[in-house]
Amino acid sequence: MKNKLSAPGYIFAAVMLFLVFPLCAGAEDALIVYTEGDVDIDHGYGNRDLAIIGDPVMNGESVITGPVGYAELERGSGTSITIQPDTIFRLEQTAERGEKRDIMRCTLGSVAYRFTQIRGREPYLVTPSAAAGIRGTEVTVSAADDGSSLFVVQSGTVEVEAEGSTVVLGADEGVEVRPGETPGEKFDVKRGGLDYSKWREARRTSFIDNPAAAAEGLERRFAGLIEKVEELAPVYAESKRWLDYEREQMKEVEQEKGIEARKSYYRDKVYPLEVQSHNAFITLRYWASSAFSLRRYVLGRMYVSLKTSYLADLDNLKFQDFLGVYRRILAVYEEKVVPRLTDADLI
Amino acid sequence: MVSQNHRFGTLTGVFILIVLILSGCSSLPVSQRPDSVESLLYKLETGDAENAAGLTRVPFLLDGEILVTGKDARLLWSNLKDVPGLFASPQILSITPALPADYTKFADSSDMRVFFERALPANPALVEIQTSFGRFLLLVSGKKIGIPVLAGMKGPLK
Repeated sequence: MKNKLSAPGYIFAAVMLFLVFPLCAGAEDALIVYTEGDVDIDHGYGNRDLAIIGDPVMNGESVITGPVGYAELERGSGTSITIQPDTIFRLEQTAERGEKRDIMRCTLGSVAYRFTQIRGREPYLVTPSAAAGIRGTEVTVSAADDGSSLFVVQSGTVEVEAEGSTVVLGADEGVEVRPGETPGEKFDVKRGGLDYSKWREARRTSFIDNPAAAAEGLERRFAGLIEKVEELAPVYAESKRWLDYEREQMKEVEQEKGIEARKSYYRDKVYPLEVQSHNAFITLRYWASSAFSLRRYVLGRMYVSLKTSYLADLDNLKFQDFLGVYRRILAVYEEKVVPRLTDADLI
Repeated sequence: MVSQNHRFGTLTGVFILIVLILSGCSSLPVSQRPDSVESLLYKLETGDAENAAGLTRVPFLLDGEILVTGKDARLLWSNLKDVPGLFASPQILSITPALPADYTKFADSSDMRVFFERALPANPALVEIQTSFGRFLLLVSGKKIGIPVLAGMKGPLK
């Protein structure tokens, strides 16, 4: 007996192809080429596997290293990514002016990148507090528990952008970006002269000393991301509305003028809207994912640090002030971010 | 003859009873056995932070948070080890299998709903305990051999 698709089956398959193909077509996987200690690949929905050399890391997946975990990834022939211990690193994608752009997100910990050959648009290096565009570069990115980031360039040029302000870094230069603030003053870095773990420890101490202030910085950054989500949501909704309308029109054209007229209607009217709608969707998703990362990983770690530190003194004002900001962020997250993500994104 | 038959029947009955008791015990996952949960709490209370982190599963729930890294687990225990009597003299108030609908017991949020619907660990159980420090809700999980692992904690509850 042959397995044959019914008419609804064909329609379903066609819809799935349309939905899935554009997402996969531009997705370039990275490959695990070396690991030491605990290294996991998080596939979403809480599915985590031990990373093994040769494993692919797909867009939307994260690499999480343990206390002595270390991983090296390669992407294409020209990108090397080195992930240090206690790091959360994720591959994503967005669209900018109609063109797809790869995102490499370091949410916590430290990641070093080396780009020798870049196909298409340069990737964005994203942290909780900033985003950086690169040109033929070696750069190390570190993200601290309070959401601060440190960018240090070994060679090439990096543009670090945060809160609408940009700093251009050359070789042996670095900059710190605190959440919700513009990039700080750039500084010179001696080769091997910067201890990233000491920098992260100093940022952590600062957060423990004044948790409400650190959470407010995070809240400002969060508000900036929400603004982007709010800006893009109606753009996507409008684009999708037009797409649905034109698809209906296309059916009428086919009924009235035949299949050839339908094909040219699709090419001229529907396809451009499909591309526009898809790009608006992945860009919206990128900003919503940025807000999610901030809430889950940075705010989450702040919460565990403080709740367990003040467990015997929960009425302490420092903790209560932090809780006030924490609850505000959660309320906005639930209202504005969650509706833009899928269940798989939330795990 | 009658007596022998009677004896054989009694022995068979006892044997069946023992088998039933044993199979009943072994079918209950460690996460739902009070003695196994007590063993876990004892180890968490008496062991150092590193041992406690080793008995902690990630992703781990703390109140409404989902902690995903080993560093979070170590951070949690390095701080909790400074809290005197956190799990000392625990009294188990209840043990029930954890179900997707139970997410609100940790937090009435989308994150928690999705975690309980999609990412509950194997043999999950909700354990409510009273210690000298306060009342806690725990999420424990584990297979049939050994002791369970801690997969979540909320409290002290009011």
